[in-house]
Amino acid sequence: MPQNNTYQLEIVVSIPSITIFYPDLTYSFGDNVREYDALIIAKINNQPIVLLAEEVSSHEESGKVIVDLTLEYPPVLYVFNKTNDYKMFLTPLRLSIRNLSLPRTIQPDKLANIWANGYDLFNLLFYSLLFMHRETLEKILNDISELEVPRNTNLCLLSELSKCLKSIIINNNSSNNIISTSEKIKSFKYINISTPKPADKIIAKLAAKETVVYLLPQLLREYESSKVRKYFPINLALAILNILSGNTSKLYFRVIGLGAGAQYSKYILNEIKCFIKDLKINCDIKGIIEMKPEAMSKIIIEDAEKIVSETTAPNVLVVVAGDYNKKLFTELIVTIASIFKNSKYKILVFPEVIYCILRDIEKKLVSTNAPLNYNPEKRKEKKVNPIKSILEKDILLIEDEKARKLIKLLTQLRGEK
Amino acid sequence: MPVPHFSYNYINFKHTPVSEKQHISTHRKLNNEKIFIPLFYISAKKNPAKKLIELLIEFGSFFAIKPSSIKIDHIDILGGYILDFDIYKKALIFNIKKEKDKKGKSEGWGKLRIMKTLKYLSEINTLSPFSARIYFTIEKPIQEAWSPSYIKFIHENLKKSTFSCDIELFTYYAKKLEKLGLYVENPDGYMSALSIVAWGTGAHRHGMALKQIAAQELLESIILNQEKASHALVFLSALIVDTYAWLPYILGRKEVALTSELQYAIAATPLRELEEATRNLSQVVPSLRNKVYIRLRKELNHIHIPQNINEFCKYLKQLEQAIRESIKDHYSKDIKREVLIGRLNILSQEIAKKMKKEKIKKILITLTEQTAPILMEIIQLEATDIEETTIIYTPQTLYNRLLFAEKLGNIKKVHYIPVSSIEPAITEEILKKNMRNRYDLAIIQGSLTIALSVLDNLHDRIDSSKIIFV
Repeated sequence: MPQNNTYQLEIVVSIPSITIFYPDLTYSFGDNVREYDALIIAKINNQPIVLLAEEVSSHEESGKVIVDLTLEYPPVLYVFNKTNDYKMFLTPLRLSIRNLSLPRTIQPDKLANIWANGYDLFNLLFYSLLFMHRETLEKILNDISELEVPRNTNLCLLSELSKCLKSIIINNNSSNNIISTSEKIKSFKYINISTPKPADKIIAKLAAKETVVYLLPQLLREYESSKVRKYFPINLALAILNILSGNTSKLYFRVIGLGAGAQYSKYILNEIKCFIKDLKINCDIKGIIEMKPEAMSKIIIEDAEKIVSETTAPNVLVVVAGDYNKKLFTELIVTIASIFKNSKYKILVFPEVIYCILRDIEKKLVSTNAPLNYNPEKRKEKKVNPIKSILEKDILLIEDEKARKLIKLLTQLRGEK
Repeated sequence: MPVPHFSYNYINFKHTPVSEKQHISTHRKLNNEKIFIPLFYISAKKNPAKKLIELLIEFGSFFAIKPSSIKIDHIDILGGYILDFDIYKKALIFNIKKEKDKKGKSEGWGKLRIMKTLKYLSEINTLSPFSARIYFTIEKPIQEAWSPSYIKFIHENLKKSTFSCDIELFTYYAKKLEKLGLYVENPDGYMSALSIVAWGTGAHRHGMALKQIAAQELLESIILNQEKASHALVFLSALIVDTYAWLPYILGRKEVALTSELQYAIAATPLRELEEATRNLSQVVPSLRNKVYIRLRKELNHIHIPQNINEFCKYLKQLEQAIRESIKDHYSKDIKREVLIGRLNILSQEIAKKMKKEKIKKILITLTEQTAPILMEIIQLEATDIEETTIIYTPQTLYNRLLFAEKLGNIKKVHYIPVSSIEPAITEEILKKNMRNRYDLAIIQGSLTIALSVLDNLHDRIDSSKIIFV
């Protein structure tokens, strides 16, 4: 029962800038569903409550109330500070506070480091929390909280947050847990996460004296009518060649094109050839393009044998731009590995779309981005090198001993078909 | 006899006595106008009706709402395509009867709440995959207001035109479908709710995936247990018509043609081949609907409950072939691949090759947007003693993960591992820590970032002959 007929709201955890994406649209480069200024875990007379907050900067934000109506109507506390004209905000507000500013458990610039690694799973947590019924939410909270998390501090926070929410929503007995989570968020351990390495630094480390790069572009149907997506493998190739060419004495670059993807690969190859002249990149570039997989293996082998005769033991770098058919990927890798027997292998997979953390915009920390989807003619207009916005977490790198084991497994899988 | 009148997308009502002859002529005229193309009709009473509504709202809301204490006695649902500003859209017409003995009680989910929820999900909520025009029947003229609850009920309906289909018209179409066999009475709630939601989705990637999931799940009734196989055929026919007629039709519309989301979906390209042939949808749908249903019904006579996975594969292949033949027969054009159950056919054959006499106790599966829970039932045709299943999913496959939870009750231990689809290094870290078992069978599918990470963490945990990498 409230004391003296009053209820006391105590904000314990206030995590700024919660961006929600459609779970089924992320890798199609979709914008967010809604961005809330904070996720609040509070107590009302010591009982836990979860709220969202919208700090109103202008009455024009009244339209957000309608957006919320289309999204299961999550509990949003509209916060008006002294400078905002509450009287101009003419949509019905269920929850609002005037003349107040929200406390923040963590500042957005610090939070950016947390979101920078693993936001896809934070999105899963927030989406389930806000837009799924309790039974479903419980399942997802269990999945996340039961994960054994590695030393990655971002994932540790994800785990802590899910445990805290589970305790509040499922068990309803969480006062201590809220405080514990609050302390963990504030703790030195979490707010001093170092910025993840950019992809260019990782690529630079892959350079060897002699390097052979195989580019496997994902199949883009009707690429002729594509405005920007078609440039993704071209820009990726140019970025990789640019980085490697400075540190490699012999650089071989092969564009693979097979079956329905043959025409697109021809286009990619021609574009790359034009641009490397401009960029003064010195490399042996060639397309390995064929309609039939059987014929493809023969061409790869002939070409690889020639490279072997010109080199000692070159590093082999297989780059997948986006996604690739698993059967063809297996076939290609196994064929390549059958020739470069003494080489070190690196397998790199680059998804087309990434979560991008915009540190300089306080109001919208997270967005999706496809940094390499632009016309390469316009690269000089880009103020920042787009490859720098791709971080270590955005790429899959399997190298050396792990790559060798993976190739061995793929070889066995192909043999068993 | 009341005369039903159509206006654009709004099935109006006016009660004027006319002769039976005039009545039929009106309907004939309506047919010629091609405003509504009926596809399936469902009728459920008491508990099946309640279960159907509960799951329809849960699946249609993307697991946001699960109604409890449903207070309806009876539900009829008519599904079809309705012409709206020169474009055919999905339409679901509901005829709901409330529970008689619960008068005056406002708790629980009564007719009005169900109506409001369905309209909200389908027409407003952007998180819901559901996108059909929702109509409700008018059974009798509005009577004199005699109680506050009735006045409120009528007031709300008149304000929003919720009641918009005359019961005579509804009955006309229902009987027409019943004669064709495209009628289901007291269906299984899970099967019917999933099928209606999948059929009722818009032209988007997740909608296509839901159709694939629902079509696969229907195979449980058609092949695995055959208890309600005839019901499942009605839903499967509706999904086939929607996939091979409405989707290509909508892809050809300029309103949709320039968007990319569906074009990049797995099934878009084969469907594009039919774009030209589906321009006149009012002619295509009835003919394709009848051909597909008759062909599938014939096929049912050749399907018996399978005793092992190879028999299942044989029947699945037969069904896939039957779908392809009906499409070919109708369009005089062969489709390159069947998009609804074709993927399951490939996967089942791969599983059959790997399943030998060893006991399979621990399984690992990565989910794709198309993976349906029937996959586990297929495996269990051979592996009857599964102890633990590990399911790896991403936010993109959240819906699939939740459906798996609905159906995996007979597995002792299910371990779900959420990973990221676009942050592969994070996925790699999670899998390294959480893939702890030795596995007896691994089905690795989906995007290469996930598939390679899983494979990378399977060293020494499985015999390579037990890996399916497709």
